[in-house]
Amino acid sequence: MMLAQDGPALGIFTAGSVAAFFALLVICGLVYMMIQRARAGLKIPEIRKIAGLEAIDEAIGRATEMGRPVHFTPGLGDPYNIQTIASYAMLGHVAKRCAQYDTRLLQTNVDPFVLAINNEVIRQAYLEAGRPDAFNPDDITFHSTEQFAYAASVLGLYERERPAANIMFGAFWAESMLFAEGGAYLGSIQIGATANTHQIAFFVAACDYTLIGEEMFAASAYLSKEPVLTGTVVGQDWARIGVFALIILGTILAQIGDTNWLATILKK
Amino acid sequence: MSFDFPSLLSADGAPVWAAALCTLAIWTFLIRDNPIYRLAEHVMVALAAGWGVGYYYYSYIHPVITEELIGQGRWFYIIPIILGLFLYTRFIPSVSWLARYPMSAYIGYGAGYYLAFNAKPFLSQVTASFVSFSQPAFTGTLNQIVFFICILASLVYFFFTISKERPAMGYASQLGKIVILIALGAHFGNTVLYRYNLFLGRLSYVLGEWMGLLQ
Repeated sequence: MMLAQDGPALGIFTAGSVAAFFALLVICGLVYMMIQRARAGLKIPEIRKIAGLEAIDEAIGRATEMGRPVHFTPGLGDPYNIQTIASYAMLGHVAKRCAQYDTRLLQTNVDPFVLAINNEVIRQAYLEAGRPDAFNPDDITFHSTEQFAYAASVLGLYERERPAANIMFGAFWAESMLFAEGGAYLGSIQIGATANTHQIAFFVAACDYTLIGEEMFAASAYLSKEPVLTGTVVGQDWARIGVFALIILGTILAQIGDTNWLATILKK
Repeated sequence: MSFDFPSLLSADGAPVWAAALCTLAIWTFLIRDNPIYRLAEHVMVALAAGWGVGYYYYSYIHPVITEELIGQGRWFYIIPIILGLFLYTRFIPSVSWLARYPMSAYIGYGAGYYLAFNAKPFLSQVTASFVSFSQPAFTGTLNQIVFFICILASLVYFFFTISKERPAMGYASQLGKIVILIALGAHFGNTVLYRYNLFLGRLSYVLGEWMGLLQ
């Protein structure tokens, strides 16, 4: 494949985007194949057990026994942030359990769009649990679009409502430690999950269970066993195995000589 | 050492008093939830909301309507405006389904954006992992070998479909977990130092700008 050094490659690709495009096609193909297999009921690899996920039901059960609410926050991510999208499925699971156990769910938001989506997610979960009457939209709250105003408001809510379970699942930034420390101070069971590497450490330090990075994306599939989600995770896992093999191959080539053709192709 | 508070009634002094008192009010949360903290919390949330309305009006709504739509006759801007107004239909139960259209458009735009631009840096990370062990100094070679082993072990930790009961996978995954925890520890220390820096900044403001003790 001959590519020009300057200008768009093949007439349409900006420099450095050709390999990315084809890599994306391969990954999408893998994911699509796995989703189709899962839908057809064909055998696909199982997702391994993820530590901390069982703790979610345990935490909601504890809140039920104590007669205290469960708090769920998706963090500060935009509605299309991949971590926020992963949080929708988890929120659905948490809301369904809360509906089944008749436990109050407090859901706080920083983004008005996410608030609207979460409203729908929770409403649907209560419908699926056969408890539409228990759905209370007043417990799904918007606080502020400003990071620390939201953090201050949620900390105040912790003190007033004293949730027994605090589930933080999504994209978090500097407010992560405030939330996790505030929950720990109240003695809540805390489950933190984020792919923002600079914040995971705070969840590890202050939460009872932490889902690290990719684990949060696999979590929803593991809990729901839903074919589309499971197929997606399995497809991505195969892509990850492919990257593993690429790194080994690329490193071997790097030992042989200065010209690493694999790196050259991937940089196209 | 003597206090030197700015005048509460001066144009320069009043904001300093407000900022310092708000800072102290927020710090009272360290004792427990209390009316002073609640006042600061509500003031902060309300100010953020008010500032947000002003910011979005003057940065987006006003310029789009007056300059783009009316001024330059770009009438297609009416489409996002209508989509935006659809968001408010969720308060009218009979037409609340309309609110789903702007949300789906917004999420669709975001997902497409991520797909278009996230694959490229991901491949850059992969190619950056192709390291040569041949380095001028032995420590350089050792560094590259450790890097290579750590990156593979970290990847193994995130394999969800391969059983960790196989000894090789189990050990590699354990090593990956240790590597990740070491990296998280470094992040933690770094961020704690930064937070100390923020705290000292506020403390310096209260003691210096407000109390006048740091002359």
